[in-house]
Amino acid sequence: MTREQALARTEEPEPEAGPGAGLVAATRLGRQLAANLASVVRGAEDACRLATIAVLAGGHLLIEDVPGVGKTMLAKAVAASVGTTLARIQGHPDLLPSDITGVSVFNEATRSWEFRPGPVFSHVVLFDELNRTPPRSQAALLESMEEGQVSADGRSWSLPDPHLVLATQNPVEHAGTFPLVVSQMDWFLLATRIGYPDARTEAALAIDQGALPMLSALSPVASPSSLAAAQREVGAVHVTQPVADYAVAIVRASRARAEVRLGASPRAAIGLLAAARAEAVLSGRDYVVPGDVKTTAPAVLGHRLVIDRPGGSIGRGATMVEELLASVPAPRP
Amino acid sequence: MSPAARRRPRCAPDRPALPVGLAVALLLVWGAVAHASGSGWVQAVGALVTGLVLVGMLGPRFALRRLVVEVTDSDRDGTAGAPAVLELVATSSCRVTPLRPGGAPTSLAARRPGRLELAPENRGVLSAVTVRLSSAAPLGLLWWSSTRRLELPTPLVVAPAEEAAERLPLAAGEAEEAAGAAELTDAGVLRGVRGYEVGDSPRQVHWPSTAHTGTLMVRESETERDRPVKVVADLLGEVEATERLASEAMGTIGSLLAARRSVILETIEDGVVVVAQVADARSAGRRLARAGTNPWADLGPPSPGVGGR
Amino acid sequence: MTTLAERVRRANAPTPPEDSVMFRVATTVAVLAGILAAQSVGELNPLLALLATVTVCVGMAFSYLTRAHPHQWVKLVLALSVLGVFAFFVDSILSAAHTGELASIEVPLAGLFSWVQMIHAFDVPSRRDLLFSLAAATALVTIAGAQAVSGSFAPYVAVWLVATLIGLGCSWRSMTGERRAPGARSLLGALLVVFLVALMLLVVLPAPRAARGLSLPASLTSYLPLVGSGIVNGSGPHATEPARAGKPGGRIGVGGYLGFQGPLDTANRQSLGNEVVMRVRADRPGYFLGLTYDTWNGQSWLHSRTDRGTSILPGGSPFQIPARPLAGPQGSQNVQTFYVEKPLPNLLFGTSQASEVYFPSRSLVVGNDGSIRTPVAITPGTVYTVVSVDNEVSPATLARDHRPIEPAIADSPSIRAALQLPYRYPRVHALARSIVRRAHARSTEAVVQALEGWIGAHTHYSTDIPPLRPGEDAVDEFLFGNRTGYCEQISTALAVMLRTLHIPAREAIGYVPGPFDPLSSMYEIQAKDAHAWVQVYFPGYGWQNFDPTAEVPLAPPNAGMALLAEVGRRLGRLPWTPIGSVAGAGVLAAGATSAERRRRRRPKGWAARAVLRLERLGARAGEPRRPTETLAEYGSRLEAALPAPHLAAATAALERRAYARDGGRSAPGDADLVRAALAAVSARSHRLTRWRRRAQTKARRARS
Repeated sequence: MTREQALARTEEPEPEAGPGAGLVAATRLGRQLAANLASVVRGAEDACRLATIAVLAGGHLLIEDVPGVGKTMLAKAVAASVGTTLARIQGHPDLLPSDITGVSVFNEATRSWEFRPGPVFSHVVLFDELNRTPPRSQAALLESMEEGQVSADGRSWSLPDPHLVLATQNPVEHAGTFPLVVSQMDWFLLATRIGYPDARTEAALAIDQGALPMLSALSPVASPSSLAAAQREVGAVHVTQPVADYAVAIVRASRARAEVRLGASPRAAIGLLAAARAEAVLSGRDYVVPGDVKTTAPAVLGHRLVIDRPGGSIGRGATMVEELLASVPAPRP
Repeated sequence: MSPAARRRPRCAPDRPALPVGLAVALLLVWGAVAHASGSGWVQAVGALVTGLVLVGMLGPRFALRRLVVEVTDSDRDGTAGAPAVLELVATSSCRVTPLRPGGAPTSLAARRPGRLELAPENRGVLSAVTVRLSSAAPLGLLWWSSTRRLELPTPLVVAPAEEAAERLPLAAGEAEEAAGAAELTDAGVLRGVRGYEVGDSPRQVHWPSTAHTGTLMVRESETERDRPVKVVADLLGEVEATERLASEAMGTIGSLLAARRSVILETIEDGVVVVAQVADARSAGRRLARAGTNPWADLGPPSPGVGGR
Repeated sequence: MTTLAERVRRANAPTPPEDSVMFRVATTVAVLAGILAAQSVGELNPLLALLATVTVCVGMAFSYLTRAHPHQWVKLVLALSVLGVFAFFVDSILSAAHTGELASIEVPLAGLFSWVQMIHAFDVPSRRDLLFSLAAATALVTIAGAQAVSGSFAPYVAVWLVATLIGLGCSWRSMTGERRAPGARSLLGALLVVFLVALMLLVVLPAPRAARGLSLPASLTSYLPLVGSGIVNGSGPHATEPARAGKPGGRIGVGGYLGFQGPLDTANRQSLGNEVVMRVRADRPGYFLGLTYDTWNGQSWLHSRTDRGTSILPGGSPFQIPARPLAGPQGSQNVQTFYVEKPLPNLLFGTSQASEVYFPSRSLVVGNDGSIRTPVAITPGTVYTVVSVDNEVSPATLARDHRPIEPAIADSPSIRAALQLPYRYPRVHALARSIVRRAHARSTEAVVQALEGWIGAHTHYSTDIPPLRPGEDAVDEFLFGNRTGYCEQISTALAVMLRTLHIPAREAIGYVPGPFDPLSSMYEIQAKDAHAWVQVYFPGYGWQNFDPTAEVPLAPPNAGMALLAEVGRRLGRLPWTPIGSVAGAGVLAAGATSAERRRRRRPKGWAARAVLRLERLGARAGEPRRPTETLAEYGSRLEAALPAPHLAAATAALERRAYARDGGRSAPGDADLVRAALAAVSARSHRLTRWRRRAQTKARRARS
């Protein structure tokens, strides 16, 4: 599918005249990215949109689902669409932290220790099956996500900007996993499931022999620099006090629930507004409306709650957030 | 939303025969007196009494139509047959009688939070309650009532009542023993060794590995008791039958948990088979409440436009 | 089925004590209003009223203090006392029946209710008991109202009404367990509705008419026997000599009209006051006749020999009055009850033909002049009832059915007396004939009308006329002299003119109904309502009343309308300038405060107002906004549900307005878009509610 076709499929109206050119460019970039992703990972428009939001907001994305539904494909599509290199790390129990961050080797020629950057030093990092990695290695990755830099040999190495980590994980009920601890979960801006495609899409996928052909046909819609500009644009989106209050109310409501053992952190509120900003840009607005907060809240908060309820870890969190949203009054203009 | 549900709730006076009859009789007597005495003042007083009676008899209808009752807070967990508490706020004084589920009537003062005790007779998930609102405002001469559906802010999960299990999948005497049997026994298959922890019996110390590692090691053995018990609760079907089953399951799980057995509960929730371990009686109750057919699903959509939100 | 014993036990089961002080105070006030109202109309003697006031207050305080633990022995004592009071009541009723004075049951009834209130006040621990007290207070006010004859009763009713409303409001509060007093706003609203309903009822319902009880009211407050059968003017000690000719400025102010005592001397000059001498409740208003005169001597009206005769009616109340000669056909009954306020002559009044009289004396004296005289003095507080048979017919009938007087009747003494003249009145005769000729009057009725018309056009009414000089003829003086006079002169002139034309006429005196008091539905007869008019004989119809003097208000007014008119009249008398300025300032201040409050509460900006309006419209269409719903979600939902075009776009515009930087000033078309969308929603929601209502009715019909 060409870029023009992908554009023609988008249903949102073109951003109205009025907002600055930067916003128009950011909106266009976001929509093209979403369309690109959707053309590859078919039948998972929501996940694609959330991935786009994560990219625009400069946050990291956690995709949780059973194997074979296109987690990796989505991550690859993101990398391809942003037009950068993709570093891929396959999680397994023997993975060492240095396999991620890099390792210092002794250079015989210069007779000095030299840092060989690991796969984390790239714009888009795909970390497959994060929860099959032992906690030590998880911690190494998460530190890099948190700090935006890697410390090795007493030196700090900055990660490239923009920097996006896409991690996938299997649902925790499956055997042989190391579940992520809550504090690490918190560093992912969004978490989503992809879900099984519907019967028709699945049949189409089977005929097309998966999504690989689509992936190879994908053309980049952004460069690292244009993406950085779009991210700046997202950061400049206006948030009024009532909307911020609404976001905070949702976060606080999550802590008040009896079933929730651990509610969302203040960082979650920041993340919620960041995602809402990106959502606003995707809708062609330079201001956040309560609907943006409401739409993104399940994905932003779902994985951060520790709750007492059966079901998939992210799925049940998202369900809980939906319930929360049904009890927090929306602001009235 | 079906058209039937959109209908405004009907207001009707409660047992109007006696008060209305009394009022009519009073006015007839007054009319007779006014006619016989020929006094305008009797007529004037009678007209005022008529006004009072009219306000007293018809006022509640208008008060009731304007009345908005909201559930501000509710218990999240309840047990079938045991009271659960809702917190309500009404815009004006009224009496609230829970109809489905039943419970004790309570009076609400205007704009003051009040408590309503429900006694749900079945397990399940309650997202709304049906109540009868009654008002006799402003003079208290005649009660009017209307039936409303009040949405709960958070669903009330009613766990089944615990019923003594008839068939416990426990070894003989295990339940009695369980209470005091904190210490491990030699019985069972040796699974491995681990470091000594305070409280371990000295008899458990595995001397060969202790000698090998230099620190105290104790045996860990796997017995019948350590294997989880799976309880399958198929709660699709008629309310009464499933209620009994759920109670039995609850009792079984309770006994098992009391006997320190790990329990895996298999239920069908929202059409999906869920197999998961239950940590305590509360989570078991919640799972059983959600499982199978929800007896409270037929409460219907809310009455629109009247504030029974 | 519950057994009787069980029911009794349940009815007597202790109810929770009533803690509301306000409820108790309101009930006490209502009861006191009832007691004082009964006292004000004379149904309770002041001593009993004072005792009742004190006892009720003490009792209420006692039962408030002991409300949690009512003493059983108190209950016993109270029950016994109630039995005693009731026995006393029955006894007084029976004794009244025995003496034939069953007329007024209200007095013992009011006494009974006051005693019950006094006793009951000591045992009102709970809400039910207080409600019973309120009901008893209502009964007391109603009983008092039966005797209330003037507007001074209004304050008692007002106090009772407000206290009852507050009491009932407190009772409702206590039903719901609310401790706070009922809101002033809701009470005022209820009061307004009650008042409007009452006013509407009074306007719609016919005014109550005369009493229709088994026994008509009649009573004496004191029994002062009189000697002889003559008429004694009841002004008694107040009477002074009337002004006579030659006594300049001789006007006296007495309540009693001198004409009643006879003869009717037109040379007397008397000024009658405004004070109410009687109140009359009557089926119909009319001329309340005292007596008639048939002989004219040029200055005074006298009785002829036949007219002077009297006969004694023995027996007792009610007295059947024999029909007077030439009474004419029997018309409809008119029951009139007279409540005497001032000493009056021992005359009983009544319209046209009195047929039955309720008066508590052993006998009555009936004069041939149509007077009914009592053997006892008529003192203030006397009540008597006269049932009259009216013979008045319409002028049209009289004009149509004109026939000559039959010879047999023409020879009768009363007709001959009614044609008597002291001397020929040539000038008067000529004048009368010319008037009749000019008016082409053929029938007697037309003649009377023509003469009345001439008098009305050519004379003036005044009570302030010079005294008659000795030797002067009153009629001559009036018609050809100063042409000024009052009822005596005017009616005498008409009677004499008719006599010169050979039409039998005589002078009648009595009272005309005064102003109608709509609340007591009584005519207030003032001293100055004493009147003289003319009775003309019509063959076949008897003596008919003609009043050449002035127009008197005769139409019985509807109670409600009269009340409105009365209120208007009273309001008109208030000092409006200060009231208006104070009220205006108050209204302005209240308006400013509430506007300020509303302005503060009212959302600023058209967008916020549009949001409010949208929510209201949506709610009316059956789709209220859920609190957790954002505006955009609500807009899309409404757009789909109603459907309403462009609503989603409009809500998006509203959100931009609310959340964008600088309020989204960059989109100027928003207001129009929102307005159009709201108009569509409004139209749609109107149609929806109407449609839904129709569907509901249809469904209900189908069900039934």
